[in-house]
Amino acid sequence: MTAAVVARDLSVTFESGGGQFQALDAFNLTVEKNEFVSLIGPSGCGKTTVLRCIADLITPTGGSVTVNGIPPRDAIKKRDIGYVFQSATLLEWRNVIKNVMLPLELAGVPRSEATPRAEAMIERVGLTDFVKNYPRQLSGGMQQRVAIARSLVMNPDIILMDEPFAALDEITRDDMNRWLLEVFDQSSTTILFVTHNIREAIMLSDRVVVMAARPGRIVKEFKVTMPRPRTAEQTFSDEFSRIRQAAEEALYGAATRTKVGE
Amino acid sequence: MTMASKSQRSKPAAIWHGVWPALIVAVVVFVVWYSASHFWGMPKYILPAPDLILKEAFENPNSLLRNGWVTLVEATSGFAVGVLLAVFVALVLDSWRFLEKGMSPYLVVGLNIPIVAIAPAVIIWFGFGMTSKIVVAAILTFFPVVIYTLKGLKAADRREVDLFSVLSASRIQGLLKLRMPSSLPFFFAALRVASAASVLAAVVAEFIQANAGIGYLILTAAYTNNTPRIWAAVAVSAGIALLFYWVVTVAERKLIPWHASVDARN
Ligand SMILES: Nc1ncnc2c1ncn2[C@@H]1O[C@H](COP(=O)(O)OP(=O)(O)OP(=O)(O)O)[C@@H](O)[C@H]1O
Ligand SMILES: [Mg+2]
Repeated sequence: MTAAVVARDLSVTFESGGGQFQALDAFNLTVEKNEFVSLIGPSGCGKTTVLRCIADLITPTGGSVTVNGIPPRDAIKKRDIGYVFQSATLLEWRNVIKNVMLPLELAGVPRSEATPRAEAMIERVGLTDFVKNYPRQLSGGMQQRVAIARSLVMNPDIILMDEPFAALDEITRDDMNRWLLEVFDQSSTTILFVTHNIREAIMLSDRVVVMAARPGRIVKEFKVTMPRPRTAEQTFSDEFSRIRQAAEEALYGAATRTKVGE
Repeated sequence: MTMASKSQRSKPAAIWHGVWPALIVAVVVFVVWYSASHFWGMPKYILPAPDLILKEAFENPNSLLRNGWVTLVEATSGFAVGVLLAVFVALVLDSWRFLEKGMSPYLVVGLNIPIVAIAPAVIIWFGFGMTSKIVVAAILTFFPVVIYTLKGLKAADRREVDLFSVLSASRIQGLLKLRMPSSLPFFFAALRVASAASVLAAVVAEFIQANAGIGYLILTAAYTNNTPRIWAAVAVSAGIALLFYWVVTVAERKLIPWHASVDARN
């Protein structure tokens, strides 16, 4: 069975202000089918850059990426990839349902089929009362939920999520985490999830990957074997606190090492 | 707090609330103007009394209406031709980067052509009938609309462009569903500029040579020192420009209700 995502010796160099900036160096990651993997790391360590390579928004300077065994460009063409951006990125001239229908529309799905699918998706993110609202009439959290509904509506094999809940308050974030776990458990999707929040990463993931900056690279990986469906009680388990402590060490150790190295 | 008090106010009261400062200004201006003419001896050739202008308008409504109509037709036709041409050219230049690079300095030159400088030449080309006025109005409409529309077509947010790329949108889908909607606020800003400019263009072209229109009416009234008629004609031309502006604003409100600029003006 081919893995969902394979990144091999990935490196990305940006031209910035006359100089060169190595955003990723020798980055190796394999995400299996139906696996939930979190990427966690300090700001600027290249998490978004990884996702952008997988979604063919950047062509890596070195190394290779395959998605379901094919190049990212072809996977995008096959609409195998869903992407939730770091900001909601809704089209301000479209109301909620029209925003969620956008991927279907662009894929040529007839309206009669697209409308019920979008409506069902909107119901799953709990925004049925707001289908006719325009983005600027929604709170930040609601906008982000619309963006998630939009990324799920095509039933992509792989969903890339870039800090989708970073702008939400703690309570809503917990809600959204529970909801995302449900979605994940009920489907056969693969999720690559970027976050700054260790607790969130452990609760959601099968694997937590810790990155460090300058150059962006992986410093540590943790397997999370807590059984699914996950429950809030599991945050009190031994495994949870052990991984949390180790991840924190890797994360802050990595952060201080970079600082010292400068 | 202001939100609450606004929503509590009934609709007619709200309208009245918005209108009364303007009304008070109008009344004050009228009283001062009236007194200046009738009591303080302001000469008629500077500014005739307001009641004289109204009297002129009501005694000779036909020439005002007939000439006003001519100017209105010239301005709207020129505006329509200019806008259509501008949108077409903007789309062509947008899809052909080389041509756009080559043309954009000349578009800026075009935008800065002083209308009076070009009008005599256009009248030589197209005669002193309505056609030449329409052409001048079209020229003055064309440049701002083509420049703003081109700018608008590039105004889509970088992240939205990424979104369309991830969703595997075709070029034409990107144009229709992202770049064109993003350009609409720019387009309407240009239309608002062009609506005033096209009326101005028609009137100024009529000054140069014409046999009808508000500019023509003003010119002939000036030869006979008929200042009330001049000012009545000025009022009509202002009315035409305002009407135009209002139509564009209403269209904008209907077509891009989602845009912040529309929201802010409500
Ligand atoms: N287009 C670009 N040109 C130049 N430098 C870039 C570009 N995109 C990203 N970078 C740099 O690459 C590095 C990694 O950026 P990236 O956005 O991947 O970080 P991140 O881990 O997602 O950070 P955050 O958690 O703040 O979102 C940053 O230092 C950034 O300045
Ligand atoms: Mg990022």
